[in-house]
Amino acid sequence: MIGVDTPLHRLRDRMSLAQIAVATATVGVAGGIAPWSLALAAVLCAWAFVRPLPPVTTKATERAWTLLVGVALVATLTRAVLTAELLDSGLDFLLLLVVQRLFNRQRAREHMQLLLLGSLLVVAGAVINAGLNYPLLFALYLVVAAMTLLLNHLVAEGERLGARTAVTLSREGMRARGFLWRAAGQVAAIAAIGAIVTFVAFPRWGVGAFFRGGLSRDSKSGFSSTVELGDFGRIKSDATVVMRIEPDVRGAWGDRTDWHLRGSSFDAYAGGRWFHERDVEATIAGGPFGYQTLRDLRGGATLKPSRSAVPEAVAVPGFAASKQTLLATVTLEDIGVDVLFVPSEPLAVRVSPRGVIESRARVRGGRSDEIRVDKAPGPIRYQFVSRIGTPTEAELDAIGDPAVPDAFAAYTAAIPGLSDDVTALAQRLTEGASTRRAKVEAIMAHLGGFTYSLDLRPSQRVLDGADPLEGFLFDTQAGHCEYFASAAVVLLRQIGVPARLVNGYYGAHYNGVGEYYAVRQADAHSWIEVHFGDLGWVTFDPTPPSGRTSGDDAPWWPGASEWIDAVRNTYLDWVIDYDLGKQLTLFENLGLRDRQADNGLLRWRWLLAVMVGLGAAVWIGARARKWRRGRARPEAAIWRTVIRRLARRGYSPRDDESPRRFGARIGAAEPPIAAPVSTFMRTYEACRFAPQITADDLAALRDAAAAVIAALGRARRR
Amino acid sequence: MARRKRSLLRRALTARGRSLEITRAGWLFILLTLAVGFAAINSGANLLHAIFGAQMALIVGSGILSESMVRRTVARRVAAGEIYAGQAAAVRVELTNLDPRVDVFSVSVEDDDRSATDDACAPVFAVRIGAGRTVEIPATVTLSQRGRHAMPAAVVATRFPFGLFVKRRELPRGAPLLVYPRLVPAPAPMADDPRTDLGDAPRRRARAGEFFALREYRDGDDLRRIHWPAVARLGRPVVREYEADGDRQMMLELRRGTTGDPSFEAEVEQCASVAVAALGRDALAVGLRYAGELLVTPGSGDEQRRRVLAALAVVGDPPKGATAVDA
Repeated sequence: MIGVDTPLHRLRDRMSLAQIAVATATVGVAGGIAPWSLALAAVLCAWAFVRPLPPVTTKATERAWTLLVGVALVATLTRAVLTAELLDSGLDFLLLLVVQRLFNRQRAREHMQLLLLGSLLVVAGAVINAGLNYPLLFALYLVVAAMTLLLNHLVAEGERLGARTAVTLSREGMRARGFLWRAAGQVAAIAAIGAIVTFVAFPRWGVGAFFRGGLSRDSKSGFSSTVELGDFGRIKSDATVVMRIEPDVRGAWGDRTDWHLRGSSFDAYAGGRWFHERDVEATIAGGPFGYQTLRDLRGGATLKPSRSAVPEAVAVPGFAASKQTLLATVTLEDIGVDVLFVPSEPLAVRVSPRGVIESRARVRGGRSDEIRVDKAPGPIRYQFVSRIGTPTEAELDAIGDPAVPDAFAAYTAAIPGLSDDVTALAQRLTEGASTRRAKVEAIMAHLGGFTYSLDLRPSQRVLDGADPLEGFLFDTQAGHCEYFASAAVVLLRQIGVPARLVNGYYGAHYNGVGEYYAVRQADAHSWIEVHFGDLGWVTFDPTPPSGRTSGDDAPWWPGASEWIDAVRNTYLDWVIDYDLGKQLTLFENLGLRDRQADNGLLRWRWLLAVMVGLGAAVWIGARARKWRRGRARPEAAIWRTVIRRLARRGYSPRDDESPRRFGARIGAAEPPIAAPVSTFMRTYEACRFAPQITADDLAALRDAAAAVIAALGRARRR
Repeated sequence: MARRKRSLLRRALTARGRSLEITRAGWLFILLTLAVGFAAINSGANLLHAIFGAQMALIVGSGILSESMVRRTVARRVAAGEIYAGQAAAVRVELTNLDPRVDVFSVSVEDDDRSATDDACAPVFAVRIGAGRTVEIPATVTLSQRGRHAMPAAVVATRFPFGLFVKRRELPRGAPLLVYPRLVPAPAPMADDPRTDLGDAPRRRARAGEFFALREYRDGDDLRRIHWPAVARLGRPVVREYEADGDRQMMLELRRGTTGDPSFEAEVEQCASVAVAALGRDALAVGLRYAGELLVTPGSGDEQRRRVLAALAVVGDPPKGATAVDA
């Protein structure tokens, strides 16, 4: 039966391909497979599918495939060892195996192997795909794979039982395919229920014997260790939500916040590129409530324990609003950088671990007070405490123009490659300004007259080799946030004011559906921080207000986008980030766990209630059955009893068969029970069609039924 | 303790004639499930927990579904004609779905591979049996020995839904069937045949000869021998007997022998073959003697053929140490 081409085989073939396609999609949409690899596999699969399948694979072909797979295995292992891309290499190898099986898929066992490969791809998808598409694809896969398994099972039975049975089976299988689809749906539903129950109830205790690695991610520019001037201009139209913020106190921030969510910061600039020159990293130490706190300028703690569960900021002398803090929880999508975004001024962060792997996430200080984290790929969830209050103008003025400590020399270093015109401009702008605030304001005022624009055309000066900032300052006087911020920093440094560039996100838009603040990629922004002595670094935003945001709504169907993003957030929160804590919370909400209980045992009263409920359901069911029986005609009930007993022996009445003929058929097949069966059938017909049935008739029918049952018992014992 | 547990498990799996076997694909699936379970517990990855749950549900669901398919299916094998030893005979396999609400999928009736016998029944397979319905599937059975034998040991089996597990339930063997001796190419009945006193008129009509008497009609008598006036007079069927029948009758003589003895079996087969060939002729009456004792009185027609074959099916002394039923 190898290589047989029947409609059932063709349907099985198509379903095999479909399940592989869905399984590949679970990893493909997450970027787990390189596009060229995916495209090559797709072409080869299509070729394998449309080419005429030979009845059997020749020995030479088998040897060639074995050799190819062997070579690929060696290449995969080598690549995994050399590049540490274990998952990527493994997925490519899996695709090769899929192609190999599709080219040689004559027998049911090969299709079984295809199903196994499909399931491995789905498992890989579960590891790398944190998208909302995964559960949808997984549900689709369950149905498609169940149907493929059913069909392949039928084909395998045909191969096992021989050609004669296979032909009948193929015909009957195609005839019953509607029922098979229904059965596949039911089996998939069983699997889905098992998945949900296990997901919800299986205790989470990650052991962490191995680490995940090589996961895919969306890389967003602007937050790496070096940034080219102009990067942000390309992402200002990207409406992808990259961050969701849930403040501790809701409703106090309106629909739009003005938080400057600090990410990366740079102290050095040259030739249109920002980078780090100062090697000193921010000091981070353990603090109250599990927070990692950033140290202040003098190395002191920025947070102090309080009686409430909310950490309290250490007051800064001469800064009245220094104790105004914002506590919030952030879900940050994996945007390919290791920076945590916290509104200025960040005081502390605390990563919420998702199992044992995330518990290994290590927060560390970055240069220029960045907060960086070593973590497994995928979204990350963390809490932050930031000093949201800002010094008043009077407080800033009170600082005057302090001397710059040696530690901050890098922030005042002259920018190489700039012409003297820049220094002259800075000096001219700040002429007469006696305080640091006045100098900053003077430069900000000058830049405020520039135009915000994403349409950047280099001036002749830049084309001739000058720095792009000079083109911005002297020629075009138009640019986006990076130009404004860079120009401000450069001008300030030219007059000895310590300043640095900060990249991050500006503001957040309230999502009423999910009740959180969403930050889109288009909110990426650049601003500056200026050092004010004991007050620390103070945020200034030289970009005109009109250029700070690019609109809160997604470009298409904003309402739907809000809903989709809220669902995505819930998915991340309750599926990807589902942990023991959430498990216990869920049980508490369902009333299955006492909130006061320490050991998490099920409430006994709920268990009792479930047991009583089940008992009641069984009792009601039994009563209802008895009631239905009682309403039926008594002779029909006796008939059903006897028919049931006869059916167990393999005798069922046909549609076109009278009781008497049915009895005759049984008598012919099994003479020992012929007499009682015949008597019963006659008696039943007499009762069933009598104008009025008497008690004697019923008694006779009962006796006849008892005789049949006794005869069946004797026959069974024989 | 472990041995006792295994024993309990085996007993539970094989209770009431049932057995459960895990196929190679099933073992692979179980291994994959364990691996995913380990990965889920190890990593704490939530989606792996979901996949692990789905796989466990499929394993448990597979077991429950296959058990319900086997439990709800009743199979009977009914001989659809005469059965000759060593030759495929027609049987009808009736598969009944006892459940009035739910369909049964993918059940087969096949020989029990645990019984070592030459007897065999061709497997049959039903893709679907509607709720409360019976399907009849033609098949063949080959029984190697003449005599009274039950159908070969068989099972109702299913690998539904995915072929991961094989669930089987033994079928009752049913009432013994009468297996006629194997038919071999037989020589044409000759006058000098040591087992015949055929005479020299092989092709004469069965009604020829002098009228001898009327007798009661027996099953298989030629309808042309019915004496209709006497039937009308007596009110019961009677047939004519003729004196001259002896001239065209063939009495088969079989020496005493033991069932299973190859030489005796060969003689029985020869005898049966000759009888069938002779009774295929219109004018011949065939009878059978065993060890000088009359087993079947001479007669003709299809019913006589069955009588002779039935006698030959069970003729012979039982081998030493065997019961009559075994023989």
